[in-house]
Amino acid sequence: VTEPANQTFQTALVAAIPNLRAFAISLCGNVQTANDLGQETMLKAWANRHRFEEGSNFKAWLFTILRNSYFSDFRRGKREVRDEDGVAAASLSSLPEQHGHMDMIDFQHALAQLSEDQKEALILVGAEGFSYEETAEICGCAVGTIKSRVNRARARLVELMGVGSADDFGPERLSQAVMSKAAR
Amino acid sequence: VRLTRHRALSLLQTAPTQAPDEPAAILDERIQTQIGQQLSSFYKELVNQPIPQNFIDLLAKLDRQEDGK
Repeated sequence: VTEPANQTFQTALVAAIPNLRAFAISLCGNVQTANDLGQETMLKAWANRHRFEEGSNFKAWLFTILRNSYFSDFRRGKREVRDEDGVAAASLSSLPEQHGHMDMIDFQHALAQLSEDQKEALILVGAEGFSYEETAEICGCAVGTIKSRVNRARARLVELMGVGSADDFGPERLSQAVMSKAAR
Repeated sequence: VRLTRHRALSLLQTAPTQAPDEPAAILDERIQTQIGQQLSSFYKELVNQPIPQNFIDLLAKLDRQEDGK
């Protein structure tokens, strides 16, 4: 690889750091582990830079490396994953930017309780804006699988956030939603 | 018509949380929109966090490795 190509690669890598970190934090639910995962991803990407095909989607390539590292090396033990309150609490206390909006805390808590498959698919499609096809490629599974994971993730969030029925989505929650919108 | 206290109370108690003519699908869409917005702001907040120093250090290290070759 020539020097200018390295330079271009590195510039693209730097530009991707905020998104790599955000995805890692969403997966790990813990900033410390996520930072390690993010850096591991950068090292692997750099070491394999000659394998990146010019003209293909660089961000998708990086996200594939990150999620593969996560599922092979960084995933918590099953016991810990089931400790839902612990995971949520850890991620809450280690996020300095949290402003403590009740809405957001509820949401983060709910997100931490999704299965890893569902959370991954939801973040890639719903937050990163990857297409179903790109997401399927990143996760190494069928497009239909991704679609159903995203749908189940959304349904589960509705359930977890207590807005699963018309009664729960009552005047109080509605006014909260309106007020938090107005405050923005 | 004068609204008595009793009538006001009974109105409050029976106030529908969903407009009577609002189909469930529309309500569901509203909830999904709300959840989508929360997902976006959760994620945006993470993306906007400052990059930790050790990421910058790592890049500098990669640069040095490259120079050393």
